Amino acid sequence: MPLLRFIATRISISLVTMLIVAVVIYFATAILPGDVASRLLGRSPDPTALAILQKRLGLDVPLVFRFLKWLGHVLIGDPGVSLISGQPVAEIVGRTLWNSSLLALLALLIYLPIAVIPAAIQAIYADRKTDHAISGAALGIMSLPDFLLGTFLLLAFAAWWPIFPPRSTIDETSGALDVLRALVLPAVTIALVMGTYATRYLRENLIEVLNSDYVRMARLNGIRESTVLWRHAFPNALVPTLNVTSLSLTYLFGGVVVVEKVFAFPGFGNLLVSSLMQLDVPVIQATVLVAAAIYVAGNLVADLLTVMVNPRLRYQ
Amino acid sequence: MCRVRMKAKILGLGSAVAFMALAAAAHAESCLRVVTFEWKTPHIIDPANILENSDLMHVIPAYEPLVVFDNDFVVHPWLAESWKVSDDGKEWTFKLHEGVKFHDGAELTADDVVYSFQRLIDPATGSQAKSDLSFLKPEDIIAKSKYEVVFKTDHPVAEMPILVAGKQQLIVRKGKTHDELMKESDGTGPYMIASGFKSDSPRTKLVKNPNYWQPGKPYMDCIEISGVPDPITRMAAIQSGDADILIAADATTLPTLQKDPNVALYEAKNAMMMNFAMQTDVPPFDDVRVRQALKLVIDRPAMTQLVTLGFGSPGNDNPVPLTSPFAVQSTPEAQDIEKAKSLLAAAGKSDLTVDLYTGASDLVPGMLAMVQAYKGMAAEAGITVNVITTPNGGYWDTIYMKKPFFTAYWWTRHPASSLSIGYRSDAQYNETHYRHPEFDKLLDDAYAEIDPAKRSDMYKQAEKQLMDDGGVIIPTFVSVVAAVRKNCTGFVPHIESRVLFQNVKCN
Repeated sequence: MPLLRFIATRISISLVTMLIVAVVIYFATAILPGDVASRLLGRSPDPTALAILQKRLGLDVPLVFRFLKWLGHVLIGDPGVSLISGQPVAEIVGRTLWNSSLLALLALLIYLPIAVIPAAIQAIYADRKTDHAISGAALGIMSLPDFLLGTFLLLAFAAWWPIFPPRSTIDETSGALDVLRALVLPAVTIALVMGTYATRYLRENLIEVLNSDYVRMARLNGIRESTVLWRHAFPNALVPTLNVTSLSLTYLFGGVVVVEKVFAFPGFGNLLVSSLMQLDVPVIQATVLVAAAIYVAGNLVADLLTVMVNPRLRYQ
Repeated sequence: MCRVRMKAKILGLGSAVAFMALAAAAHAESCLRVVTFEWKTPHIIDPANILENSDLMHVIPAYEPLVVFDNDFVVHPWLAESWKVSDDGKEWTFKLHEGVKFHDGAELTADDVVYSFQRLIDPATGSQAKSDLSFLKPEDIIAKSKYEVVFKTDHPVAEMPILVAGKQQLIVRKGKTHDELMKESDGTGPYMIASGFKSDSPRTKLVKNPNYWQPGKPYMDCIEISGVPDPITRMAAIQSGDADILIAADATTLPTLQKDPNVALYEAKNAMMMNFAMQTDVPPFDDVRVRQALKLVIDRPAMTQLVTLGFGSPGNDNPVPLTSPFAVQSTPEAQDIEKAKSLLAAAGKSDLTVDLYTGASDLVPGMLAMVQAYKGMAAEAGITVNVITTPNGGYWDTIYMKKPFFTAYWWTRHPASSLSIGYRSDAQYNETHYRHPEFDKLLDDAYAEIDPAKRSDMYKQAEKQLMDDGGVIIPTFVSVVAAVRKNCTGFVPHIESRVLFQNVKCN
């Protein structure tokens, strides 16, 4: 029962957080310098044209009424239409969210071996040359900013040895293979950024576990080294690494905007930046809300998982 | 142990095969692939409302103007095959090309032109072209016959042809609304935006117009436009053959592209000017001798080479480039340190010190190099130039036109526009606080003068006055450089990216 109450509390706190985000984002975009009407009409617009356009965009209604109307529509899942193109915002945000999800999925698939294999090798050969060499390489990759890493990969595999497309400009007409090809370079970039970070965690944990009493016991019992590593040590070392992984979730949606820029990938981060530059307010609001929702949901899930894994927290 | 290794081997082999298969799947595109430098979604494809370069790239292949202009702003026939003006300069008649078809199959007639221009000046349309066409009234745009359109004005408008050739001044099918034009194109251009267009898509495919009026054209089945914000990615796209045309290559990538045997560079000279502005009503710049000295210290060819790395041309403190047929002087002014010194001595300012403001990083590529070169050249004449930099973010709000001596840049315009927008007494961007009734009168007379030769002379007089007396220093014009794969022919670079895509063919 206390567990259920805990879950209910966490969910309601999350909903309140979302509501606060909605209020803040709405009024923050309202005080952005300049409005879309004057951007559409140029630097010194004709007053008649300005009045007509503001009326058409609904900018002549008081702010509070606009907010309430907007909130009502958002609650029923309709964040309105783009002020610039008149296209439904849900459609625009949905498409980039889909693209970003594909990218995140592939990045995670590549991330796992990148994080696990070097860590396992390092743990086996701890404090020997192989360990130091891998540590050095990982540190080298870690200290590169993600856009630079992406640029290096792009130059290597799209320019000098052109096996992947430099432009990841995928749309609905792209075939599955084209989409996959377009995703590889950005996904590898992201996976390397996240993976080199996780490797260091995993290596530490693996070494610790491999030196623990129960592993020593397993070895004394004559269990093969590979079984010791993968069946007994690895699962225990993985838990802290999964925490690091869940923290990377927000990076995957929005944080990767510079990687998206390098590959001209139509992702969620790009949409956030371009709608801000275009002052396309309904799109800005919807993207920020979705980003906040991903963040809040990620935290919620992480909290709940932690509670379920750790019995001590259940009754507090 | 052995089994693990075997597994690893099989796994490794498997992924290698998958990787190769993935890599080998080559594109089978027969499209002309055009890459531009920005991609500001959502895109506006109603030609009356376009804003950004990537909007322009959408409408250029789909819509056409009455007349086109070249890189010297000389006007050539297009949808209008000829035009004439009445003796009083108040009535212009454009004769349309016959047999031109819209994307929906209808023939182009004078009614479509009347509709297009009435739409542009209607405030409800909200077009940025409205201010350029402020001299037009809807009832004075008349279809005289099936193929003749008349524009009547209250006062003579000598530059009518260039004024109807603006970015938004494209001809759409009569009766088409904004909502319809945002869904698919209905122009006369060589390629069409088909229905199902998504304004937020990362690339747009335009298909061949089978009824295009120029026989045999366009040469390609389709044209695919996309935008790549990162300069290195753009370079990789053209070098790897993933793109056929790069509309504007970044200055930093030009040396690499120049060496690529598969890529040709096309230079549209004089696309942009880089300038210093001295406010002519603030000391010491209120003394014409000081202004002249500050102009004379520049070695223009050397500075241009330094600033543009060879992709530029010297300027003469005149917004009209040297090679323009409207330019008063076609050779760069020579550096003259002695004359500068004597002018300063006469003005009693032999040890002149001035503060020059610019952005902390390049406002446009080469700007800081230009400022530093200027500082060095001015020092030869005993002038101390203190370069003061401020963060780029606030430059246009806090420094531009607010300090007496600062840097700026302008895209090149037709002389009628470039001389008035920055240097008339009442100009909105009068950077140099230049207020001279005789200069304004020269421009007013030129706008009413329908004899092109006489009008050109008036522009030249105004330019001469600006060179001798004005507060603007324009040492350099910068080129826009397009990169095109060598298997493509027919590409002609344009300073406003208005490429005639119907002539481009890639094998």
